Amino acid sequence: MKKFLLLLFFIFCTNSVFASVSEVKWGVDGSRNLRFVFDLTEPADFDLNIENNNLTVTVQTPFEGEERSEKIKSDFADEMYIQAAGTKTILRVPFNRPVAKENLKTFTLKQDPVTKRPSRIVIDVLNKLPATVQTKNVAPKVTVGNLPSPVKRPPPVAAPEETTVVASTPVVSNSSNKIAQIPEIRRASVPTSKSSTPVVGSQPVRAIAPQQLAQKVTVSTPAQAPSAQETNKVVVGSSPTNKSDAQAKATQRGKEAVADILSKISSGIGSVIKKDNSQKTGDVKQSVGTEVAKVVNKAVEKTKLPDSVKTKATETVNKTVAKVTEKIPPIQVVSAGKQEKKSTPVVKSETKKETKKGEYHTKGGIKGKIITIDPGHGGSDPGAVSNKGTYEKTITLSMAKKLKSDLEKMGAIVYLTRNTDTDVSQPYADDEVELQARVDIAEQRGSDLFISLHINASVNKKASGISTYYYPKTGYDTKLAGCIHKQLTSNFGLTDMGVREANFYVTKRCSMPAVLMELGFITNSKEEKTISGNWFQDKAMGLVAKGIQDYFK
Amino acid sequence: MKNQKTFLWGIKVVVIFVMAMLLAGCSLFAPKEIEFTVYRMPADGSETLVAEKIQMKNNDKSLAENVIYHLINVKPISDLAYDDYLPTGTKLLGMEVKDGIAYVNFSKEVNKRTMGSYEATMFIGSIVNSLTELPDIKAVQILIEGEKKVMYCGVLDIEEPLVRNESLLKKPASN
Repeated sequence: MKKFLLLLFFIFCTNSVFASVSEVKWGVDGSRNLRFVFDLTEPADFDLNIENNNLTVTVQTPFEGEERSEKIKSDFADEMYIQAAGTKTILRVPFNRPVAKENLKTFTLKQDPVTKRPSRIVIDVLNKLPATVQTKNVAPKVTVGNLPSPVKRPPPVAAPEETTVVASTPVVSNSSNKIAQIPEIRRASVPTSKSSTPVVGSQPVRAIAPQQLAQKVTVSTPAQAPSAQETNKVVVGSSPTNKSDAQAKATQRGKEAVADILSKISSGIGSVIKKDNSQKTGDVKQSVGTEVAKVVNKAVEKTKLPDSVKTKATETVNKTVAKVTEKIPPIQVVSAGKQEKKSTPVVKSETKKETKKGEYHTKGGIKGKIITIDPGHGGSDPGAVSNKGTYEKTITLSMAKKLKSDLEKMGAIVYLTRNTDTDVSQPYADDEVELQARVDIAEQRGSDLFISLHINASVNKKASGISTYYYPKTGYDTKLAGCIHKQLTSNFGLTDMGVREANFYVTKRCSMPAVLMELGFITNSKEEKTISGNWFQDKAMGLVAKGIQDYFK
Repeated sequence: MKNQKTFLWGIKVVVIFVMAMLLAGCSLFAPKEIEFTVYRMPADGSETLVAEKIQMKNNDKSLAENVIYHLINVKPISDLAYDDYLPTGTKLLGMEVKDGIAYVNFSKEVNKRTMGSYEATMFIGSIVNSLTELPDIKAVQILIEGEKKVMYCGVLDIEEPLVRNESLLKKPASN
């Protein structure tokens, strides 16, 4: 498959004679990762280099835009330089802090005629290391119970020494994975949530697993850290090291496989513990051992390693697991404090709360309820723009902050999907990815409500008014929309467009009751003036907060 | 003699007439006229779709095809409806009804980002509500260039078949 992709890439390269770079953009996402985006008329070849902490990206096509140096606001660099050098486009970024090659991730995007997205080369400077490496940090999240001495965890960056190959090759081999992964996350996280057992071995779950681990049970599982460490060593050791290109590539593949396996192990262990949780107490050591071995071996089987490596890996895994399970003291599964059953909903305190999807509170007053507010658009996506150049993203953020403070005064716990003018997922991400990132935040916080704030737009300049949209999925969405809208329209002299059903992505895909509010039209010049002002925003948000309070009564 | 001749002619004429009527009747078992309702985007910028009853001669198209054809190719009769309906260049590539779901296939121009949330909601609403007005259609799957897309205009989720949205048919409750 990888070879096939490379071949495709070569075909693209040969076509690149007619290509040109139309624009180079930059952006910073919520996790403070820095991203550079090259817009291309045709796919083109490119090189990436770091020397003396200077990033140089050379794209093998002429630059049509304006040669310039541009200030950038990021943790990594303050300025970028774009140069046209004959048939090449050169981007130079002097970093002001050390950046390892592992922190660079590149991928290409194909042209998309529907969204009018051009071909793109995307270069990410990651603030933290990619998730595949980070999953090794899963272990510390589990509270270790009755262990004589704490297990030494592998350092977060386990094997950077040999991975130098990554950055110097034009396409990081991870790239194709990354693109494929994104839509998967959404699909996997929606249906699996309903059944309580995570799918073993499926990648997306690994993001959820550690959390559930920490929140559900406190387990002493020394098996985890050592086994992860051991397999890491074993597989890396057995793969060839350095010098010839092919060997280097194999090492790289091995490493990816290891990271992959590790992530699967962690999700596997998550599922094992979940399964055994039903027993509440007792010795689950044996089943953990065998399950871990099973999961790991399955994961090894799925990787694209040569067969010889696979069998070796499987053998070692079995041995290691056997060794480790022998050493573990009997495992006790202890339930973490009060497990929420159907008992009376307790006001949420600092104790860890189970954030299972589909669990939300609808009664008992607003105090202590968790509310996620989503200021629509942001960062690379301005949302609707008025004739005067007012951005939807600016108004929604300002409104969200007001609503947050109003709700907090009433005693609610409030989260925003974004606190600044930024993308929630990544700059220039697909709408689907960006919106799912917002839904994910609401899910992760265990929100009781999701409120998305937007400003409407229309080609019809006459259109005006406030509408509240919901998607009838929980039985409470309609009530919520009704409560808020009633407050807004009966206390405000604004055009009432009504409470409507609509298939908005965010209200449809989150599990808790949700509304999306379109608070006036930015395309209606009179209304634009109103909604940009503090008076309107204060009053409107005060009423929305009152509506939410009514809902929880 | 003369009377007899006229009588025979009379019979011939009657027979031919009856035959002609029968033949005509045979070929047109289907009703001569069809009737359906389309819901159009309102011109006043409100969120209540404007209903338009259509009576027309029957043709070789199915009822569902007629509805969608009328909605996107024929200008509205009433001033209450917004006439500049679709993003320019949008074509209907196909239309099929299967197991109660109408698959409406548009060309890529339909996904025009300059549409506001308002237009997007109303446009999808008018198509879904007009088609689900027909007794055999329960839901509508929007396809773009023959493919299921997740997002429409960056806001709406159109991955799955969409059901009728009654809330777009009534006026907001007056205070």
